[in-house]
Amino acid sequence: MTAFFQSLFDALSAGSTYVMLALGITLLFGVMGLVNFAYGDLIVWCGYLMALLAGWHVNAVVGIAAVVALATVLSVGMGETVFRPFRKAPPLTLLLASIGVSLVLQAAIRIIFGEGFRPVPTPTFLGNTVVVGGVRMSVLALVSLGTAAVVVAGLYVLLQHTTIGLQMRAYAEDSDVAGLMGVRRERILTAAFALSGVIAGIVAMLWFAKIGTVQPSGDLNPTIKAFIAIVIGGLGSVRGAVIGGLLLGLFESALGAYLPAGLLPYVEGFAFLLIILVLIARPQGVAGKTVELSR
Amino acid sequence: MLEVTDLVTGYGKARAVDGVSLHVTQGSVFAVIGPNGAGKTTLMRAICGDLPMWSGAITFDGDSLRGLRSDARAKLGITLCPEGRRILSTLSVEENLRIGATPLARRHARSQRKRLVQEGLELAYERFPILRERRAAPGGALSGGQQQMLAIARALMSNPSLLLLDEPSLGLAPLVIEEVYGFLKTLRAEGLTLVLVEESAARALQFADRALVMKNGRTLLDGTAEEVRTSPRLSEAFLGEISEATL
Repeated sequence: MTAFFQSLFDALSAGSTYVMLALGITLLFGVMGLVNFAYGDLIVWCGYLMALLAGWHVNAVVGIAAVVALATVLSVGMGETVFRPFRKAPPLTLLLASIGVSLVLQAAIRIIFGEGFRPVPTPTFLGNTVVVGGVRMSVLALVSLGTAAVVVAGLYVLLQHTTIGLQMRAYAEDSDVAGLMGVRRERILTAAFALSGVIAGIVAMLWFAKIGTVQPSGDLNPTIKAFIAIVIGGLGSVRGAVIGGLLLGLFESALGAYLPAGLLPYVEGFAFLLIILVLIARPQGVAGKTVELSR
Repeated sequence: MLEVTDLVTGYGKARAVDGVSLHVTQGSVFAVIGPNGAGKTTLMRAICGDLPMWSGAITFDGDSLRGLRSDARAKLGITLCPEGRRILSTLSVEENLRIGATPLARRHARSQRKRLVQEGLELAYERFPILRERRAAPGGALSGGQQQMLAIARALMSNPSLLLLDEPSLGLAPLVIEEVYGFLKTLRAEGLTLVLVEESAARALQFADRALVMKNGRTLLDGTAEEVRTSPRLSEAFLGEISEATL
């Protein structure tokens, strides 16, 4: 029984990271139909900043603010320069543009920092564990869960109970009508990219605290996890990202616990198998009615 | 109040409105009629800034609207109740109304916004009790007639000085059309300036003070509603289309 609860906890803590990864991407998809492949690169940039900040012994609060600020500035920057001109373009154009942004951001990292892995030191207390009823919980996992809960709740309140959230949802469904109704559309895009960036910054810190190193092509793994979660849950909705992220965590954890040792290296492959099965059974995702934030 | 001069606009390279002029005076009802594809909707979209104009001029209360996007024009008091209603189906009825209040909020200081929006909501619910009843329902769950009421109520939330209505009777049952026009009469009596687009000439000409008949993007006829109604050329606008279609 303890083993079961242990797996469940591990699943939820891994899932909580996936949920946040997914939220940052699904938000932009919902608002403007953008599948943002450059999202993972924001996280990589944050990783390098974290490595630098750790070397400079920067105060933790200042460091956290700096990482979130970097991700937000980068996200808004790419939104304003690259994606705004394409705001009426078909999703495929947006997708290709985002791959372009991703390549540029990655190349910049290679030019500045070179190839290879860099350690991203994080406070050691995050690795401590507490044991409750036989279930071992690392401080990092608890922080991840707590942060995810706050991010999800915050995003929900913002979208459902604030004026800018209402305007975002209106823009997502019909940007022309939003304009006719007086919504300043340029602000909506800026807000969406800022929000996505803030989430990227937050999730980056938890991501690198877990894996401990960063490298130029380190964007791939978080991006793929996010997309798996989004596709499982249903594109473009917050609920879809939450459900998809948690399901992915559960699935990986279950595989890790019950798969024969010889197959463990292929856990990632099984995640793709899960996508295929979900898409066959429910193309709109597990939680999706249809696309919720999206047009 | 609204002055449109030699307006030319369209989609891609195709001209949909080709040199149309009109003048709407404060407190009057102006009807734009014509067959399907005449350019009526395009004209409305250009006036409210949903579509850029290629040439010509639009002034509102004497100020040029050049370069202003739809949200800025809505703030000035020009609101379009668009063709096909365009209710935001995933938003609740009340959220649709709140979105409609955005220009009103933008005209006032932050401290007054909440009260003004609340008053607007109360007024909308008084005018359309069915909307109060269904305030929490998603906009997409309403019937066609209810959606038209919501579309008009939403446009009125901005407290416009000029309301453009693009085919408010489209696809509605006759009884519901009566209801819509009954309400438009109330608005006219309150002194709101209206521009009304309709494909069906008779009802619009009964209701309007002045009218413009469009065909193929151009002005075929204009004048008082009475002049247009009795003009022998009125049938030309619609009959021409039928003969072309049957040939």
